[in-house]
Amino acid sequence: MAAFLYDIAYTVPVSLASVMLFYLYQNHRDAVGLFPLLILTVAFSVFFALLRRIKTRGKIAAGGVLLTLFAGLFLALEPGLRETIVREHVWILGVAVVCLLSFLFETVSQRVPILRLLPILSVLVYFALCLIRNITPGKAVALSVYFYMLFALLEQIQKRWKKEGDTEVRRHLALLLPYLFLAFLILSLIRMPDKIYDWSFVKKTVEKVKSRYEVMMSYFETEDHDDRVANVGFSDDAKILGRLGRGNYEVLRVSTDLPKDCGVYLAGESFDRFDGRIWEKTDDSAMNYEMLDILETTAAILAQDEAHLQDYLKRGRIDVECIGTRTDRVFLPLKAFPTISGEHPALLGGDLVLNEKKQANYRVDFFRINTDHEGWKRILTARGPVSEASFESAKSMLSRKDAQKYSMEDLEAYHDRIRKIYCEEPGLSDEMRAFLQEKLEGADNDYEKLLRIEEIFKDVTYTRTPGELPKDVNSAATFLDHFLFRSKTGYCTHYATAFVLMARSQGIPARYLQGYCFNSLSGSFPVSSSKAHAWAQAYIEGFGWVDLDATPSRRANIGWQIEKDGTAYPEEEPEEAPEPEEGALEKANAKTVRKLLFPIVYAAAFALLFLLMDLLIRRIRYQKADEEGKVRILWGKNMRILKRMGCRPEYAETLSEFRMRTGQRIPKECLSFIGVYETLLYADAKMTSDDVELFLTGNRRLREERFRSKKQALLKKLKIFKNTDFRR
Amino acid sequence: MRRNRVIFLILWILSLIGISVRGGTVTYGLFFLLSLLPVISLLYIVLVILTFKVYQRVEGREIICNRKAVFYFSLQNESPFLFSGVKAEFFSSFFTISGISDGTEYELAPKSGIRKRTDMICHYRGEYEVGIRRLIVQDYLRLFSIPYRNREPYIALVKPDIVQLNDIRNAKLMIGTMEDAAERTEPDLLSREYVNGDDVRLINWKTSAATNRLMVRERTGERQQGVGIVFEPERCSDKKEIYLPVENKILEAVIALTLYLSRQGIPVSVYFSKKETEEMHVDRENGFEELYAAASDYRFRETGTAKLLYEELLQRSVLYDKKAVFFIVNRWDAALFTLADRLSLGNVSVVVYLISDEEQEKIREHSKVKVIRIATDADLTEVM
Repeated sequence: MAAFLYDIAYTVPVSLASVMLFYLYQNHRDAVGLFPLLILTVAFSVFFALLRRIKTRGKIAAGGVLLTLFAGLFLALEPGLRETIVREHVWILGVAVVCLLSFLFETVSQRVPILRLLPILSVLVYFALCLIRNITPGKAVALSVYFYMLFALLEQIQKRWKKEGDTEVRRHLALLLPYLFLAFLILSLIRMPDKIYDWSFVKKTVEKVKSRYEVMMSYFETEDHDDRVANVGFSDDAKILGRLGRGNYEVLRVSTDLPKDCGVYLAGESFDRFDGRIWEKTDDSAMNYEMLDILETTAAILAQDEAHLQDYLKRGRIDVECIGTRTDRVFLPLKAFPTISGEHPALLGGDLVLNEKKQANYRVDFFRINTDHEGWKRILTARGPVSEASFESAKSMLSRKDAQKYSMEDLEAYHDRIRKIYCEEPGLSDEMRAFLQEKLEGADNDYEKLLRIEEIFKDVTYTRTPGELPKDVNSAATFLDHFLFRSKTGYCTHYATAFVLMARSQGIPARYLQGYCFNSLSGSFPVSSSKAHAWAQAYIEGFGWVDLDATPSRRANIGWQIEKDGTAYPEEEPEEAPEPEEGALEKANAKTVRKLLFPIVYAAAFALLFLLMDLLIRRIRYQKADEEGKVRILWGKNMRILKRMGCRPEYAETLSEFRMRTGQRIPKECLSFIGVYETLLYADAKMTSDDVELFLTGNRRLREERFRSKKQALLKKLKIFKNTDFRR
Repeated sequence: MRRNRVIFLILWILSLIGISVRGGTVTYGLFFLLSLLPVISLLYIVLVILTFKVYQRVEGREIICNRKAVFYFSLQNESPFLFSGVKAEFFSSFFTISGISDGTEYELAPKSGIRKRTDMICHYRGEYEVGIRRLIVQDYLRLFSIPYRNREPYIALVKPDIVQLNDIRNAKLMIGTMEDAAERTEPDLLSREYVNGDDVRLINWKTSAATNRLMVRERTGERQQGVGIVFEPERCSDKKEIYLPVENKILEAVIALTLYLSRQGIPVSVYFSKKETEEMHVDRENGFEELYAAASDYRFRETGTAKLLYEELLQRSVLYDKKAVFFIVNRWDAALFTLADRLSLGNVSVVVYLISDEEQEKIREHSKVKVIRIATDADLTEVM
């Protein structure tokens, strides 16, 4: 067995590589497919290796059975089909020839080991040429070659290794095959790309280490030592700082179905009260602002342009993974549904909050609103609240269970709350009041006013280091005066704060938001702390909340062009599979069975005939042999029975020792023939008919003993089975 | 093995360069193969460590120190996988194995084993591990060689050696001196001055009153009988390498001396400390086997036991009627000195055999006590 496995281990890789490399693979790869080719190559290699190791009788039997089988199969085909099959499958003969040549080469190499260097060197040259010319040999070729080289290496290691025990090389290598098989099985499953390795893992690790270092350093650089600013880009309490840190490290990992370069505003926290230096959140309402806002917006669009709803609203999905920070805040885009997969947040004054700070991972569905649409302004400037009919239409259009429970009364309560919390009069100075009046002259609706307020900030310079707010800035009014009239510099927080205060001064509810603003990319991409941003949201009655970004350099485009390339609500019906013809399958199956059955029957008949012939020949040979010949034949038989009973001579064990050891398991009277055989081997004794009789008796006793022990084992198993209580 | 590792590392670095420069099956195949092989080799080694079995036994019922014992060991592979390289190490200073080299590596086919028969000589009396101490497993590529401690060590109970002394020069001198001393014309002392430890029943009040000093009665003409042997009961260290040789030599000396003296017709009393102070008598006909058995099983005790033994012996005064007392000890300390001094004052010959490999810097000298140092590896027939 060891020799057989040894042969296969050398022959199969050579055959595989040869077959793959030669024209057979090149010409027939597409027609045949890789898998059948591999199977066939392995099958032929195993067959030749087997032929070598079995005795002549076995060779004849195997040859006869295969011949009968193939002949039977061939004869079972229709005459016209036979020619076609032969012509189309002549490559099989080519594979067989290549495998035979490989096998013969390996047989010679076993006697002249230096010959093994020939294929190894050839393949190394071939690989070098492939690398130079950027050609990729197939995976099967590469793995076959590496296996062959590894196997040859193991053989050399074993030959040079001084050990005691059974160190026979072929056996050693055959027993190592499970380990090698495991290795190459794993290798065959691993993908081997054509691209060079970009060391992204190493680069990412270096980036991570670098960003962690920067976090640490920016912690020390930040003036007020707010580690939240250092970590996520903004502070928990929306304080207006004198300077912003320069940290640029991954905070979120996002993937979305939005097109590339689409602007995304992810709000983490909203604030409603400003004291001149710091924003505060006082709204702790558990009202579902998000759902009511979506319903209101949808109702507004349905009321204005129901037919083109999808041109204004498009479903989007975004997956967020917090990696650089532990937070209880859920980052949401505007018009997001308040239920997110993966988490169970609570509603808190228009925000979603988790029950603990963690590195959450969640998916959000939301509606994108198309601010680029030409009808957008018309919808936003339409006066009056939504009608009940539009509201109900919106509810049915959304067809979500959590949307159905809301009524117009809820919407009105929601409006009242917004006006109460987000429309607090900021108390402007006279100068600011006059300034605003001038800037907003002629604007006759809320949206127009908001657009004009956005324009005010184009004269303000964006800077990350505007300096600390003076001590006299202690109210909304003094802040506005300082920002717009004196300092005229600031970063996003300044802009957003000023915007909100100005909007409120015009009776428009507005709120300050903190989060992240970025352009979407394809696949999964990181969002760094440098994308932290503050912006404003204003509430337009009859429409809902809209994002407004007063920071000139950071405005992101969230609209899209109308291309009629898909709607918010695609409807596709699946194709139906065609009905099969009745009875056709059964007829085809029956024909195939018949075709296969007859050759198998012929082959089985041949095998049986051969077996009978073999038995007859052996019997005649035994009868014609002299006593010594008979003893040798019977010795072989008896040893085969002992081997089947699990008794084999051990390494360097004499026959006497074997007999003594085996005598502990098997009755000694079954083994008396061993002593006689020893005299034949070592004392060159002449065998007599009594000795033959002894061997025959031993054979009979061994067979009886084997039968008895098998019977006992079976009874024991039955007894165990009977006594086992399978009920639990 | 080092060469294999170096070659492997070079190839692996080349494969890293390969995948950085060119993609495809050739470079990636080599890289993954070279990355996977060590993992599988380590898995193989873990499998060997988990399934490899060692069986050991010693022939015969007893192992006696410095005598050959037949030792069998068997390395068994009971798994269905090949063990391509396993080495068994025996090295230990406590015993010697002959006929087997420590560097022999074995290959074991599945469900097979190797049995070996060797001779073993244990150098010390006591209880300790013998046989295979450590196993080293090498993988089939000879990249890794991982040693691990034998999980099934063979614990041997080794009995002390019985050394046949031909002569004991120093003891004879002492005994001879005493005999000589017995024949001198010095008058027997009827009484002598009381010293601490003397039996109060022996106080001679009449003489004490007369001399105004406390005097004890000396039995005139009473000749001292037999010999006493006291050995130190304390374990001298926590480390086996230190205490085994010392304890072995102590007990060996006790047994050798007892055997010699008893064969000379001199009765011997051996004093030692177990749960309490025990005494065993050995003469020409009886007692030696019991003493040998006691010595074989004896467990040396914790620190402080020696001092307690000497103090008790001092109080009990059992040693005063001996012709000579032999102390076989590891430490010549104050408590022993006091006892030896008392005994010598009582005209008992005292010999101290100090079992130690180190020259003690300050051995307190005593004019009448002979201190003889014996190294732990010394031949008693030459030293005693």
